[in-house]
Parts: sequence; structure tokens; C-alpha cells
Amino acid sequence: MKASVSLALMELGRRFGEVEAVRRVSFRAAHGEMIAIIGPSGAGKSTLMRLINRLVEPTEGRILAGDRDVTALTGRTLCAWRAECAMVFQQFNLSPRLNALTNVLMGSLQRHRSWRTLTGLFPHEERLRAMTLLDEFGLAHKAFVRAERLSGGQQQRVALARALMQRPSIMLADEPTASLDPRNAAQVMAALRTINRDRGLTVICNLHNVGHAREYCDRIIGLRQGAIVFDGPPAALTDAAARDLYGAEQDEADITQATPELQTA
Amino acid sequence: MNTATPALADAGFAPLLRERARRDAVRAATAIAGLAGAVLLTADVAGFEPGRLVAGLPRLGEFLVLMVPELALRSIVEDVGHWYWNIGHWLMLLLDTVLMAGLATALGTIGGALLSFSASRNLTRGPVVYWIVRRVLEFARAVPDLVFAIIFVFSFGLGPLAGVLAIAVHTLGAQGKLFAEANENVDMGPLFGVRACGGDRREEILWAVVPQVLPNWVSFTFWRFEINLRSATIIGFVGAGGIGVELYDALRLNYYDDTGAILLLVALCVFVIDDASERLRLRIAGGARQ
Repeated sequence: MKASVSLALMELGRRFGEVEAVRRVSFRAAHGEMIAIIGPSGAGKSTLMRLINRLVEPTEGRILAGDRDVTALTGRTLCAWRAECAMVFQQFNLSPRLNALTNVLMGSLQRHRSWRTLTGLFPHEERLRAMTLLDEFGLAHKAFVRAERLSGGQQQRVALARALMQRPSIMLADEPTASLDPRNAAQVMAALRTINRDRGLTVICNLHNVGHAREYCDRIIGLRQGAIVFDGPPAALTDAAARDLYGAEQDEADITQATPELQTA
Repeated sequence: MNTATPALADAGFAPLLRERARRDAVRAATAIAGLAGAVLLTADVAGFEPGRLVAGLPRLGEFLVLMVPELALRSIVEDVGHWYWNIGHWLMLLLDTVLMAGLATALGTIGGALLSFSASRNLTRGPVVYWIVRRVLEFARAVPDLVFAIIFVFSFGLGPLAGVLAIAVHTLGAQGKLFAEANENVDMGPLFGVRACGGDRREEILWAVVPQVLPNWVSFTFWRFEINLRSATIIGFVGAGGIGVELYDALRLNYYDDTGAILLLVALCVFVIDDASERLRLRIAGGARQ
């Protein structure tokens, strides 16, 4: 397993037209830290997370991973960076008609040449590795079942297996429990914590459940209107501070939904 | 019990709802009147006269009768045999036609599938590529395949090659557009999933888009094959191969029974293929999301 890379966000910002979704966010994530990012809907949590793996392009600031400037990556090196910082999503984002094993194998795309990744002829060792990961999450018996036939909790565990298949050094989790029932949510949070402890991965996790943030994470970052308003250990987040974070603007537009549409001809 | 109802009526919603219903009714009536007017206008401009339709109906029946020879129950086998006097030759030509349609469908579908991604707003490489590919597809399907066939017969000579190319080009345009529309309706989540794994554009399309659209693509393709079978029949009229040449000669020389025999043969062929493709399509698309 690769050693964790330290990650530094410097004055990072993203603007969608008039809306500043993320404004001047700076923090440093230490090796093997588990960080929760909390805040009301539309605070820019999802955008911030997607800036880190460049699913969304920053309009300001820089991201450093070790001594690499992530914001300057393009083409193959950008794909390699995305493979290095795995992401799990609220909606799992598995390919619904592919089976669980193939979905997990997607995590190995970066390691193989095009003739393999475009034919699905992954080497036997990779298939074995994918199967072992599914087994770790208790899903080996579902390996050949289409992702769409699995329950939400199972899909999220397949997504976690896919993420680990990438051999990442950082794990990003964007509201990983928001589509799950409480029992499955707790299971996924516990799995993330285990990944963080046993494999030494840095985990950054958007959560809307402050309880989970307190219970599972080393550090909590509070986001409001795109800016950091709290950064500290769970103990420092008093009930008053949490209330303040979620405070007034309940009706703010959900910035995470505001993906700009491509101009049509 | 009923205390809540009067309170609702008093809230002042009633006039609002009545006003709204009146407005919707006026709009619907306007739309229907407009549509009816447009239909009547186009019928007039196009010279669609109901009088001529009624007058011509008996002649339509006459033509149908002419196409079927006298078939007596006593000698049905001999009569049908006589009617289909050239069955061996016709079946070979029909096979040619089916093969032309199949090959053209395959070629056009592969080309259309490859172009469809650049013609999808959500997957294209950029507005310029999108614009160019859309225009190419439009051109390919705006020109009737019969026109392409005439051009290709001129360039490549008589025979199935010209017919296959003509239908393939038209198919490319039609499939490209239909596939692109299916592509635009995919759930983008899986695509971001593959992207977050480090996948490039080709891998995103192959692993996240294609599995989602494949059932639709398969069903469009069978449908297109059926259309192409008819096209391949007609395209023979200009010498581009298949049974069309024979049908055209029969029509031109007023061999009514031959015309009838060939048309019936083509119809039977379409029935069989339609039935087979329906079964195959259901099997392949069986697991499609509802």
C-alpha cells in the first residue's frame, strides 16, 4: 500500500457565474487523517470535494499533493491523480448494468494499457484482487450480479471496493451515507474508519450528519457559503457552534446542482 | 366532521382555480383550432381532394384484383405454382435484398454509433465538433437513399454495392441521431464514477454510457433493419441490386400477377424478419431498466 500523501489546499475557489460556490478555502490534510466536512445544503461541500480530484475545475487557488501541483495536471497525469485519490459518491455511481466485479475492476483502469481497458480483458491477478476486495466487504457472492440489482448499502460497499482497487493514497467521500438507511450508513462510516486506520489512508468525507462527523472523524471542517467557518477537533465543535453553522440560510440555492450546461449549436 | 371544508372554500382559492381552468380551456381550444386549420391548409395546398379519393377507391380494388390471378380451390397447388413461376429466381433476388439490408444496417449502425458520442451534448468534445458532426448526420439522413443510390450507381456501376452504400449512408445519419438522443438521456453518475477512477473519455463512454444505452441501440437497430429491407427493395428500381429490379420491370411492363407475387413475397419476408427480430430484441433487452 502506498504511503499517504499530504494534501494542501491553498486559497482554493470556484465560481459558477455570479455564485461563489467555494471561496478561498485553505487547509492542510495530514497523513492518515480522517476529516469530516460539514455544512448546510449549498455550502459548497460537494464542489470542494470535486475540486480536489478535478471533477470540477478550480477558478482560483492551488492544490498541492506532496510536491505536485494538482491544479496544473492535464491528460494522463490528471487521470493518474484521480486514480490516486479515490472517490465514493452519494449515489454510488456504479455502472448499473455491469456486474459488481466489473465495477470494481474499473478501479484498475489506470494500471493497464488501452487494449485491456477497452476490451475488458483484465489480467487474472487483478480479477482476483477485485474478488478479494468484494469478499472483504462481504459481497463475493454478489460478484456476478448487476450493480442495479444490489441494495443501496451493497452498492456503496461495491463502490468502496472499487475505490480501494485504485490503490489510492487519499479517499474522498461525498455524502457517502446520505442515500442509506441508518444501519447501512453506520456500516459504511465504520468501513471508512477501518480503511483510514488499517491502510493509513487520508479520508476526507462530506457529511450532513454531525453525529457521524463527531463519532468517526479526527477533525471537522465547517463550511458555510463556500468558506471555512470552523476547523478543529470534534470536541471543539460545541452545540452552539454547530447550530451557528447550520443557522439562517436554509433556502440558499443548492450550488452543487448548478453544473453549467454545454452550449448547444 | 365537516368543519374543515368551509374553511377551505373561504380561503379565496375558488376564483383563482376557476380563472386558471378558464385560461387552460381557451388555450386548448386555440391549439386544436390552429392544428385543424393547418391540416386543412396543407391538404388544400398539396391537392389532397376527398372527391378524387372516393372516385379512385374502386380502381384501387381493381388493381388489387389484377395482382392476384385466378386461384381455384380444386387446383390450388398448380395455380399458385403457376403464379410463382419464377420463384427460384425471385428467392435468390430476395436473399440479395435481405443481405443488402443487413450489411447496410451493420455498416451504417457502426458508423452512426461511433459518431453519436460527438453528437451528444453531454459527451461531445466541444461545441465545434458537436456542430460539425450534427450537420454531417443531418446531411446523411436528409438526402433520400434513392438519391444516394442513383449517385453511387453512376460512380460504382449497377449492382448491390451501390445499394448497400446508399442505404448505409442514410442509416448512419438516422442511427447517429437516434443513438445520440439515447446517449443524452443517460445517468451521468456512472460516468463520473469511471472518471473518478482515472478513466479517460473512451473508457467513460465504454464502461458507463454504452451499457446504459445498449438495449435502446439494439431496438433501434432492429427497427432500422426492417426499414432498410423496404429501402433495399425500392432501391433496386434504379439498378442498385436486389429484387427491386424485378419488381420495377413487372410494374413497368404491367405484369400484374408478377407484381402481386413479388410484393407478397416481400411482405412475407418482412413479417418473418420482424417476428424474429422482435424475439431477439426482447432477449437482449430483457434485463433493461424499466
